[in-house]
Amino acid sequence: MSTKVTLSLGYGKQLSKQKIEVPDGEPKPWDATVKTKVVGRAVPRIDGPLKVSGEARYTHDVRVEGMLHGAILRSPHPCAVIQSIDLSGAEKAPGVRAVHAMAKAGDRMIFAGQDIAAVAAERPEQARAALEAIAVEYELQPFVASTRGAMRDGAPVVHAAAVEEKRTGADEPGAEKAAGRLQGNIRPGRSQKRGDAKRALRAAKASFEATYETQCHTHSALETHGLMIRWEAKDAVTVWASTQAIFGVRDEVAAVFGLEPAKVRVITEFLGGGFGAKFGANAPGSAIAKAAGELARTAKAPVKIMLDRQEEHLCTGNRPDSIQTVRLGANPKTGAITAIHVTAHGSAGIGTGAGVGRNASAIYTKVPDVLVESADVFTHAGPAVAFRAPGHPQGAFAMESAIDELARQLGRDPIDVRLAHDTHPVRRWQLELGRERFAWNERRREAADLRSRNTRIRRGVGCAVSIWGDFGGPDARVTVSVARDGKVAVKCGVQDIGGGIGTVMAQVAAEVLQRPLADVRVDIGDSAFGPGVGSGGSKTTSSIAPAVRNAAEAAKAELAMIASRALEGASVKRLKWTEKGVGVGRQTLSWAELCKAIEGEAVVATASRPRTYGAFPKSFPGYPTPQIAGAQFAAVEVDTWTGVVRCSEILALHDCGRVMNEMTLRSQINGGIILGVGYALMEQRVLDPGLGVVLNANLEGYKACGIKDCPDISIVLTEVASGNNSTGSYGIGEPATIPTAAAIANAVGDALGAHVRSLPITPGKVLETLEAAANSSSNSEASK
Amino acid sequence: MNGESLEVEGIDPHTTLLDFLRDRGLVGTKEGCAEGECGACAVVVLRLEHEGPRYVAVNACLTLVGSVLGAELRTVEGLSPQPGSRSAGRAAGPSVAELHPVQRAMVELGGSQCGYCTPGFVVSMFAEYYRREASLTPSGEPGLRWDPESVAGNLCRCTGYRPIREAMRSLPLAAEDDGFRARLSQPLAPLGEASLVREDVPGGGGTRRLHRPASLAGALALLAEEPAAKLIAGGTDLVVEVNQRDRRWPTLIALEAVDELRTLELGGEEIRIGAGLNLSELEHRLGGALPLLDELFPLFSSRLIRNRATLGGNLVNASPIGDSPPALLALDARVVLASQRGERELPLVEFFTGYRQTALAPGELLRAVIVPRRAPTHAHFYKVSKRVLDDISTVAAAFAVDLDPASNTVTRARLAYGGVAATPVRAQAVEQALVGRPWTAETVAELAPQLRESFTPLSDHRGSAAYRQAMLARTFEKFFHETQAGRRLGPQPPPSVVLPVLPPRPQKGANA
Ligand SMILES: Cc1cc2nc3c(=O)[nH]c(=O)nc-3n(C[C@H](O)[C@H](O)[C@H](O)COP(=O)(O)OP(=O)(O)OC[C@H]3O[C@@H](n4cnc5c(N)ncnc54)[C@H](O)[C@@H]3O)c2cc1C
Ligand code: FES
Ligand code: FES
Repeated sequence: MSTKVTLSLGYGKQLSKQKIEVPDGEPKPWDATVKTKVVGRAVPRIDGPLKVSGEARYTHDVRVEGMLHGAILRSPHPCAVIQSIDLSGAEKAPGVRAVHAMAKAGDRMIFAGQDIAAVAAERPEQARAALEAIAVEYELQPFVASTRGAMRDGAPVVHAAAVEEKRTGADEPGAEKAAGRLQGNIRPGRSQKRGDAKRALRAAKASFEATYETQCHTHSALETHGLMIRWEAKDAVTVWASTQAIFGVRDEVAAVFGLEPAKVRVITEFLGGGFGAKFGANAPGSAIAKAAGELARTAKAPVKIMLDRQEEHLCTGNRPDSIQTVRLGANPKTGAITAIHVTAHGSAGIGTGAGVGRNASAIYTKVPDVLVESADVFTHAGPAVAFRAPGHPQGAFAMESAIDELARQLGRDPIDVRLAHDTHPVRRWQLELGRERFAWNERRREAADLRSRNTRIRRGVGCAVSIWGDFGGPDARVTVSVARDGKVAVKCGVQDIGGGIGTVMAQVAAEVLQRPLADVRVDIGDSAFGPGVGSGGSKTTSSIAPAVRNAAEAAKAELAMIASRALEGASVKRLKWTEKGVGVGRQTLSWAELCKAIEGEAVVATASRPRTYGAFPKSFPGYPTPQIAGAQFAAVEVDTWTGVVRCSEILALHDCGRVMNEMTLRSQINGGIILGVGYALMEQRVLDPGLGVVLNANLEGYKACGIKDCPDISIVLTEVASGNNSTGSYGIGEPATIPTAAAIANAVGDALGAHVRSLPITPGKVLETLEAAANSSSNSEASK
Repeated sequence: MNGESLEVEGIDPHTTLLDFLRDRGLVGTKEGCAEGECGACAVVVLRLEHEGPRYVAVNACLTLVGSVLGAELRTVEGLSPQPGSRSAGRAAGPSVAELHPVQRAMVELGGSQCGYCTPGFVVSMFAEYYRREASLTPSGEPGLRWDPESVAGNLCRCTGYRPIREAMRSLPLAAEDDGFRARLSQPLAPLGEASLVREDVPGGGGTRRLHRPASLAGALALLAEEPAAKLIAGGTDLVVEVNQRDRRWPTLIALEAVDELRTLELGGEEIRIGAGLNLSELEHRLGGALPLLDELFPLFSSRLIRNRATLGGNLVNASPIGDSPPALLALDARVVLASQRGERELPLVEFFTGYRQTALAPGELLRAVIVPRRAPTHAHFYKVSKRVLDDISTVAAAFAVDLDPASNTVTRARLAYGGVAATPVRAQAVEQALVGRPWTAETVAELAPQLRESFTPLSDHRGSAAYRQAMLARTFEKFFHETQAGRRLGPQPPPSVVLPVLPPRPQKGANA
């Protein structure tokens, strides 16, 4: 039930004919020979006018008749047993219509910010005021709020019982089934292994070892988590949710309230960002859907709960911190790395998932012996959750830093060291291209010159690479219809997290049907439009775009039958399609005439897409799908007096399969980079180890990049025809943020001649690193 | 509001413009933080300034409704020059032709991703589009010279800002027949007196009032009558407390409409700055008269905040990490305090009496700041913070020295700091030690250890005590080197400072 097709696949000038097996009924995939007209172009997003005029409606903006406002009381203590709760004060408070207990006497609260009780009131301020009327008595218990502290013997134990793994659609697929047994607060995860790294390290002639640390990073999407629930009947609800997975919310709401999924309608017309934290109906650390649903049921009115910025920092997820020891074995004569051993610990707070991605295990495939071990360390803090390329930026920082440090130790160019161990042809191409475009050699010489002259302002360059996979799949169903008036409509219950999927859907349909973009209407953001896909794993585009193509091709096939009838039985195969319409020989039918011939209202076709069927030129380890390669180069300027680092330039070279929309694609890369710059230089959730509470649960103390922190960004798209699906598309959202912080750290290392081994690279750490380097060089001079 | 008048009745005087608008269904204006950090809530106010009406973008989340009663406001929904009919579907909304040029550029160049920040950006860009100072290119030709500063108070988590920058750069100057531009040359009535009263605030709140007097005498009378009333100027400190710490006061006195507090007198000997003048207006009206402040302005939060923040608020707030105190201390500023009893003047250094405490007596307000108009030989302002813009200082420093040109010796020195003690401070012992010494690297190196020991700063999440201590001297060393022309790439300082890694320790009221 499959056919072999021959496709022209590859990248740049490296094209070759490859035989790919595609399921029957699948259109011939767009390969390197296919020139598209609308797909690939930098088309402005179709909903741009709604966004710039303030008319786009986000969950926060939705208001329905009789709507109440919910608010949640949270534990102020990192660890405490509830002695008693008295909700009566809230019940009597002005405007309150329902109160819902989320914890009971005897429950042990294990992070500051955990749910205690919820109220719904007519006005938001009444709901907040009512929370203050709830009396809770706590018995305080010892807690541990730092990752190192939690690893010590005798540290207070966070979880009294076994911990259930909570996965979301944005985790790197395959990272489940990891959990090892809990020892104190430490729970070993799955290890990644090739050969025998420990033995190889013992045998190595030269070795390098260092410990790297990364901080806890919060998603801080501009729209906070929130939803509204309205009961339509005893067994049916409508949910408006700020979510990146409409169907994930549907299933969770159904499970929480024991409903049939079909009786749950979820609407997300517009969504103010998610970055991995908005998969479920409940927030990662707060049962907002349960609370809203229960309150709505009691009050017999719709209830909306929107978290505030503080709650957003406490209980809606984050990127875990990490402490990673990297050991490398090398041959000093050849520069060959013989072994990599990474031991990583990270805290996802009370949650799980502190992995370190694949840089160490899967990029440097020429290294024979590799072992990456990672463990979750539980602390009394809000749970982590998937965050744009879970695990990867942390792992990339440690591994890519270690490569640079080893290169410095061996007196080699760090790009050469990378090229010597990486076999992915596209990444190798990106590194070579980047070296040239970034004037790498000249700038390295300039950095060395400033270092040798011991100048106050130093400059440096660095690079780092990324690995990701194409995780698109057959979950979504898309409906394409062509109406008698000639208008095209495309429908799917997918949400637009900001990537611009609606625009891409319009482009693909316009391409296949050869219609002007303005004649294509797109309906998304509502589960009623049919199964969508969660926006995670960078798979929205590669799940949806091929399904749109397949549905549009199916609609076109039906139109062809109509045309053939209208053109006196001309064979469908001989029909010539143009932007004007269809014809055979001299006989033509305009699009309008063709559509008028439709019987009934419209031609309607629905399609999905099959599993990924090609992985040229190289697959993602363990998957039959393409590996996505990327490399970034950073330039920095460091003031050695104040320690302030400024990232002045980033060159990003990314593989993105076939480009669907160059404008939205570039925007994803820009956005991934700026997130990486923030991660490298400023963003950090600060948990007070003595108090167990977050000190900067706001945007005043938690700084993200503003426009003036933005480096000059150049983007090189290294398109690859991989023959993976009918459109050749795959994702970019996550890969784009993986290497940024690592590249910046390496650039700082180049500027200083010493590596800052901890993120974010704050002015204080820069000065400490300089100080330590100066001391060690004066010590070594003394010992000579 | 957007060309129509809106009645305001029965609201609590603490209601922010943002909550008010959203309550009324104007939900295009977004809330991202309710603390002035994200700019998603920006709206346009047509404000009567010294040289005429001006569009300014302000944070609706930090603006109380009472402060803008009677003002002409525009939200993102009200920027379209010619609203028309709408089509349906995802691509619905105004047609591109109906959009304001700023909106159109944002659409065409891809300025939105998720779009949640977009209304705020559009509003900030709209104000910039009509800003007088932006209407000449560097070569003096008419054309839009866009200042990225105008959107520095807007946060975008998605786009990486580049398309937004490109959108702004693509814009030509507003057309002659642009109605919004034409509005700027028509008269605008000054904000008058206004008040809001809410009786029987639920939950035992009693009666709450906001008075907005239109004269200094009116303000002083209100204050005399109720010395516990809370003054509000720009609200950029105060409303953060309303939103984040649920602070409420029985009586608020908004200084918005008091013209006497918004004056600027450029005298020959000294410059007298009204305490209620917002920093943006102060900046362009000073026109470079106080170069040290010109170094400060771009580092003080963002244009959005500066459009409302006042010098008076910054000084009375008396935060140890406020930015203007060190600069004004280095310039030997004095403050004028006024009450119904009369006026008195104090050197600024005596104004700060303790952690967030000032010499203001009950019934008194800060009327003006007087800055002597003498140009020190060298003066610079430094702010060390993690983010380039719109970040609270870890350490702020301002230095001014006078040199005897013949001998190159110091005749007078002012070394002022923020973020290193409970109040803004001057390192007076070092100032005295500098006098009579040659202005050389040796002098600076000799005094550095003493400078480092002058104060004992605390650790917090912005920086460790050791880092701050190091910065006491480093900023001064940096200052010295910058006074030596052409020496930007100076030598590295000797590795003498020990900087242990200290765990961050909570600092009481560490916020600005
Ligand atoms: C996002 C953001 C960024 C910021 N960045 C900075 C920064 O970089 N540097 C910095 O220093 N500050 C910063 N601030 C703090 C704040 O903007 C400044 O302190 C500002 O100058 C306060 O002025 P205001 O007019 O808004 O004061 P308000 O909030 O109106 O008032 C502040 C206090 O002063 C009192 N007051 C005001 N005027 C008078 C008067 N004439 N007489 C007597 N009392 C008076 C008020 O009663 C109140 O107690 C920032 C604030 C925000 C929200
Ligand atoms: S809501 Fe963020 S600045 Fe106003
Ligand atoms: S587009 Fe999402 S925050 Fe700017």
